Amino acid sequence: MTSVSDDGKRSKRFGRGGHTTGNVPLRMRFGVIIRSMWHQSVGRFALIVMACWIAVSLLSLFWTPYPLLYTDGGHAWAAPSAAHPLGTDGVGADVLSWLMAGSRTNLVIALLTMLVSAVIGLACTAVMISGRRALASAGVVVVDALIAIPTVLLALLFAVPFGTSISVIVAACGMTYGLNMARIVKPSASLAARSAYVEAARAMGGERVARVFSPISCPRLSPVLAVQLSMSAGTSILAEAGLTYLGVGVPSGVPSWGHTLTTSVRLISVYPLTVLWPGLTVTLVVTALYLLGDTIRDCADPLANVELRKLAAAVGRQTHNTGADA
Amino acid sequence: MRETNEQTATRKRGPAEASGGTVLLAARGICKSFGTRAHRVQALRDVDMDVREGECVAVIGGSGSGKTTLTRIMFGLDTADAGTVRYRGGLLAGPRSAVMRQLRLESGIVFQNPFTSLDPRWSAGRSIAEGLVVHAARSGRRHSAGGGEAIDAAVRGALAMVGLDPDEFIGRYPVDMSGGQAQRVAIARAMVAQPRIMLADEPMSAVDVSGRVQILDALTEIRRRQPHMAMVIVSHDLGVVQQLADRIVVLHDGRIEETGATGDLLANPQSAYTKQLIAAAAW
Amino acid sequence: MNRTDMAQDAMTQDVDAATRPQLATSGEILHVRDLSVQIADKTVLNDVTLDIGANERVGLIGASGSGKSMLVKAITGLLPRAARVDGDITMGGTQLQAGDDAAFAALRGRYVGLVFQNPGAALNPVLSVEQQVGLPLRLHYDLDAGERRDRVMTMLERVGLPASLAGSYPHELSGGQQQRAGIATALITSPRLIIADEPTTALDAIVQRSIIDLLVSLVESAGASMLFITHDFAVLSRATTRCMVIDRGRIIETGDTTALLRDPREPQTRSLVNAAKTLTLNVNPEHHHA
Repeated sequence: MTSVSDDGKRSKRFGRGGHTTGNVPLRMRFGVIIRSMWHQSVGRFALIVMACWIAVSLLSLFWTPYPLLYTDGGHAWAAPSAAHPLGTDGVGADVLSWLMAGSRTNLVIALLTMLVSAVIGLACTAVMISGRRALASAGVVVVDALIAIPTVLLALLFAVPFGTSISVIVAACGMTYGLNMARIVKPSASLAARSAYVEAARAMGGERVARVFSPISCPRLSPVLAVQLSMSAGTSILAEAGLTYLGVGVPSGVPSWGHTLTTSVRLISVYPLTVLWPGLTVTLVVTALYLLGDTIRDCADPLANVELRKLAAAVGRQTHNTGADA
Repeated sequence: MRETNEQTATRKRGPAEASGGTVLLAARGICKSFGTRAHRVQALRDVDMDVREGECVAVIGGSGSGKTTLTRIMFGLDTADAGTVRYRGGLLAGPRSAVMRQLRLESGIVFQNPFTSLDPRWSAGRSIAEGLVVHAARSGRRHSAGGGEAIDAAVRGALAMVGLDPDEFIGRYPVDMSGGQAQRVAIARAMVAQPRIMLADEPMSAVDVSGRVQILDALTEIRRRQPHMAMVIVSHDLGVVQQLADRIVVLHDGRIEETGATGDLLANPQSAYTKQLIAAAAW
Repeated sequence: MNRTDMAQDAMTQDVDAATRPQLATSGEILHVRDLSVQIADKTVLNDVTLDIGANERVGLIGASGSGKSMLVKAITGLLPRAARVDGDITMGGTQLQAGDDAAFAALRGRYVGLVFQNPGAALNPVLSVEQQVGLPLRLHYDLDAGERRDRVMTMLERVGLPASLAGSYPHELSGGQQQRAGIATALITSPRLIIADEPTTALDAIVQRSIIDLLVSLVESAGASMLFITHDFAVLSRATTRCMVIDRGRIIETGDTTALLRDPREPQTRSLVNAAKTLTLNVNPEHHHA
């Protein structure tokens, strides 16, 4: 017999979905997911772009071809050359260096936007499917009303007291995308809340269990969430570019793709090539992010990906055998 | 309560109900209605029912007879408009009452359709372990050995009891199972924490004939291995009821039509409705 | 067509021999030869050959996933586009090409009436019973509203639905009433062939019995033929005279229903029959253990 405290500890571990029966170790599961994504051309494209983005962001922490503040006054608007692979901008700064440093800023914005919109979106969903009917209807009305406010307007509102900063972009994007997400996730969440398997879980225990297995933690939502979150990340990059152009995005000294676009777009009719690089970067990354969500949904869902189910079945057979050997 | 007992008086207190075992679950005067104010449907009208330790009671009746509603109320999944349910003497009052918690811990429920009652994105092992995890979280005493190995062993034991090879099924997802296999996983989930009382709500109606036999075999095996566990089975399949149940409760139009020991009631039905049910089952 | 396995060839011929004598005496309603269907490299039907003659009620029985529903879909041209179909289907004298949607659509609802498993899902929720039952008439025949209404009302009476329900919507009906409406929809155009795909699985025993009796009497009085799909032998013996057993996409046994129930030859059939016997109520032993 173990003591009660032991059991308490154990239950906590199970609650976090650690090593329970029939569960595949996370590392193996992750490996299979990545492999299945790699086998689709769309997934491969998304993975390569993501890997490049993250690698360049990390690299820019230590090294860029030129320091950001270095300007070559004599060579403003220079065409690509050996010295400046992507040319220089209006003040003679190296475009490649600024784009590399900018990828870091955009990565931070995308990650924070995903986080904020997930928190807001799931919180709103939880309210909208709450068992208390009055609260749920009030939640729906409030979300529907707030959803009407566009990102740009919200950013302008935030920029008045707080000035221009990354936080303003994240707050504006996180809020609007979070509300959108809540609206899109809600139907699947209320389906899950009413589903027989959630009832089955509830029938096995009291209210605490109802919370552990609350519809929010239900895997039924994860496919929708994967698509919505990666779309939020992609759209945040577009929003950053737009807001920076309007002057309410990143402050002028901070490198970002939107910043590079803004500085080069003024003379687009004279030096079109300079706009090409940041434009191409934004297009590639946003497309990759949108596709990433779709492939994650297809590959990380055991219902859609037969490889994951095969893995689980194989692990089920294996654990027993090793257990018997030991 | 009122006049409802007149046509059922002959059998209302049949021999099976009078004999043996302490009463685990007792429903008294249960009324329930559904629908809008304009279209009120009376699903249950003043129903009494007892379930005793170690017995298997079948609740039978056509669709709309109220059999599912009655058992859901008795197992705390729904609330009645009027009447009381007692579990081991304690009144089932509200979802947070101590008696309700005790009932949830000590009961196992098998739902009609395994493909909806099992989470489609969980493997069988995880679904079954869920039952134990809940217990570990709610009471430290129910299973004694420590660690994940104990859970693993319990899950494998439950799978074996319902006639499924643990190695093959522990990591399998519901989409890769037949109806009979999936429903047996659901039965294993209900059984894994060794409940005192089990409810099977039309466990075979979503499954084809060969699956039904597998489920019947699994339930028979459970009855053999856990003779002290009470079982309530809701069904309109009299052939199954005949093989499993000790006692039958016939519900019709929200009222208890008659109740009696299985063999007795099937061989010698009193009410016209029961006769009709039996005639329809015996093709 | 891929005929590789000699043993399976022999079996198909055996099956043909068993069905042909009955064919000779009756006109042909449905004629399927060597039908194979593959979906995503998975063979769901394998060299299926079957014939349904006039006034014949034929059962098709098999476990779930054995290909019963796929066969119905192939016959009615409702297979997914990705399916690869080999073999011949002749219906009402017309040879049908897989993928010829127009030809299949012209037959569906006119020559073939379909009764579905789940009437609650198969009925259009925004159509009243009268509109629903009249829909095949509207699609295939050029009748004025009054005449169509007359026919619908006659049909409703024949399936035992009171005229007062003509204006109701599916959700206002009980399961049995919904299936009666489904049967009325299938039979309104007096089709030569009724295909019933597990029409009573969703219903309880008493209603099940009345629905099957209704279906059989209507099919008989209309002089139509019926293909009845089920996994339940008890239902089968009541509804059909001849039956076929399908297992993993292949017809493994066919014969007279009562004979097949009494003396199944193939092990798969035997296990199905035994399962059905296990599950059947056993109050009057002489009924069941023949």
